[in-house]
Amino acid sequence: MPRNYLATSVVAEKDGRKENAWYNYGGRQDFSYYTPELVNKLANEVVNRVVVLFDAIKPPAGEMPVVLGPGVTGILLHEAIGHGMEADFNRKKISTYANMIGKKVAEPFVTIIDDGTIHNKLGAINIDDEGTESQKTTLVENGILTSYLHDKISAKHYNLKPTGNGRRESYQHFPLPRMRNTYMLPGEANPEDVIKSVEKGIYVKDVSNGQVKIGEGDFAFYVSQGQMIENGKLTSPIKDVNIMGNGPKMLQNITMVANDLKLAESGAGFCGKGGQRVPVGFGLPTCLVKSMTVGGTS
Amino acid sequence: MNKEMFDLCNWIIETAKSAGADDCKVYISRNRFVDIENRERKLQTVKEATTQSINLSLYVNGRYSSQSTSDLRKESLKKFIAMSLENTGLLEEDPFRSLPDPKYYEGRAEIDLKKLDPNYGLLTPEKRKAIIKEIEDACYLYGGDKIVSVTTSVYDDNYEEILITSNGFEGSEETTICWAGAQVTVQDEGDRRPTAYNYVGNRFHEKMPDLKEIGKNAALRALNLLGAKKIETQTVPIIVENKNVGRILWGFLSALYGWNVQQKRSFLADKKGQKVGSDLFTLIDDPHIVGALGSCLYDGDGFHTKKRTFIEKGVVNEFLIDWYRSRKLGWEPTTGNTTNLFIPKGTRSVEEIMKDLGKGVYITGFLGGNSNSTTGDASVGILGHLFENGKLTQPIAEMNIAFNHLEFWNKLIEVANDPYIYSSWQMPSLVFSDVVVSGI
Repeated sequence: MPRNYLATSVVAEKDGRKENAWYNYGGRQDFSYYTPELVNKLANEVVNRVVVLFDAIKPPAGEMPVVLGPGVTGILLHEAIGHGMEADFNRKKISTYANMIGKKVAEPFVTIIDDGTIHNKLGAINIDDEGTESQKTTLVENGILTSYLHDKISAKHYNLKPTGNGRRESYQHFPLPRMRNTYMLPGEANPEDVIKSVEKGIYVKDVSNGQVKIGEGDFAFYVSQGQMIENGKLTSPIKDVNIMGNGPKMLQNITMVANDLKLAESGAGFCGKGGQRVPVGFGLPTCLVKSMTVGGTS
Repeated sequence: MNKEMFDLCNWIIETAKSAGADDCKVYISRNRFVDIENRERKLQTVKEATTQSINLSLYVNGRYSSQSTSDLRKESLKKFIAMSLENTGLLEEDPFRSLPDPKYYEGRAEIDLKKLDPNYGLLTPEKRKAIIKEIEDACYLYGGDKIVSVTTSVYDDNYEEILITSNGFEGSEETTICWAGAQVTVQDEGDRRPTAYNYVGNRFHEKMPDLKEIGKNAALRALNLLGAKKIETQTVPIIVENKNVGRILWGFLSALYGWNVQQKRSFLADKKGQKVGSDLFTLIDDPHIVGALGSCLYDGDGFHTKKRTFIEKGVVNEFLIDWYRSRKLGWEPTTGNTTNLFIPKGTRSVEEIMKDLGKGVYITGFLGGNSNSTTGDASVGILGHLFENGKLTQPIAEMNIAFNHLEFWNKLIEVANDPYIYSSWQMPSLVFSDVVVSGI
């Protein structure tokens, strides 16, 4: 399957102040994917993203509800939760999820999937790098942790079948359990109702630069696009802010899941682990996390 | 200089030029490494490989490309060169691309930087195992019954490179390095399993520091994370531990690079000669420190290296401008790379400074976050300790600091006496006043 990206970065200036933004599309498809309409969409999106930053404020610091918008925010699921469910970290006892198979890790309306079979998405594979057929693996089913992501070594350790997650960057590396396309199944709420339920918090449209500590589950993400939520309405755009949290706690704190699952069409799409980069995809419906730390300035 | 590699470089240049290249630059490298890892006292990984690669930069009819291959056979290289030339022809012209003016090649220092260990061959498998065992023993000794997992490793390599341009530059070097360390995971309350690591390196394996200390330090760093929690948002002085200074400094330094200045993505672009930090903020790059990890005699363009002061007492003095960006900007080139970068050390230890400050946050790690080179705005997750009355009182996690670099470096109120020597950026711990630390 061919793989490609189209990325653009824009710097804008207004009244002597500069801002920049970037956006990209990528996937496993040929160049016919990049129609003039899609290229226009990309240009419009990146310009809108930079222009909005001139009106953006830095939100107050502290704990507050966070609404994760649909699509690319699925990277939070990938980083903050998915890595901890890769079986090598659990086999080595260094993941916070090491003793949690079969236990309740989220509300019953939360189901998380890792799926290598979605056509055109960056994490799509026919077989993994150990020859195991690609598959759709349910990590969390109705709030219960049901499976880790296995390569052949971890599968043998746990006396299970491999899940088709043994992936490597190239012939110079050895396979490790790696995610493919990781997403949460949609819930029943309307996205508007999720936003309406928040008196004061932030809405996260896009995040980047995520990092997680596997053993503790602690993570931090930079909010590259977002808005304040005040009295149930989206208000000022926000900038230069991080959201901090703990993967297991965040999962427990997801109190609403909307019906608008979207798989990310942008995002750099590479995941790094053990010095190896492999392409991955992710997605999320609109979700409410009832409390996270927002790293603002006051 | 490895004659075989040198001859191959020259053959590539001749072949490329005779096939139509106006100019070219060839970089050949060869690296032999060994990497051994133990987990919970059992051998987990053994890797040994020799890798070679060629990077070829071509300048053809005003067009430029840079291409690489790991197939060094001449028959393959002939095809590689022909295809590279063909690909270059597909690109747009770029009038700013050229090999540097050879005058910048001149003046290379003649110093033995002590980058090659003559006793590298004595680093045997038995010696590597012994290094791992000593570190491992110390991890278990100091980690005690809280230990969940210990991974120890030793990595060493012998690296050779040759850089030749068609307009007269020739440079080569051979280096060795040995890194060793451990990652320790300990059991906290509930399902939290804090992990910490400590790795150190030296170009001479026999000059590695006390191995017990490496393991002890890794174990204690992990134990220090036990009980970490989020605390109330507050404005306090912060001390950034020496080995973590690079993470925040990079956000500042990125704005000094020509590629950001030229792309109008630098908050420092118009600040030359202006004060952007406190008098304590001096940033020096010294490529000629014997034995230091970043030392070198020439940079990626082939320019001879020299000591530079990028920031002097808070004032922007010099940018990092490589040849290409210098042509686009119309600025005099400096260099495109840092070597051994440091802020001059102060006189007091972190412990002494902590006593004076009374209360504050000691940052021992960063998590995620972003630093915007266009605006200078930064936001980054932190972990470390609250200190009160000069003593560490509460490990902290899930917290954040947000600042703008143009304000932040003015808050630098003290530099400790502890430069971190196991990095090419030999930074001491830094103290900043009045920083908002976000938590509950």
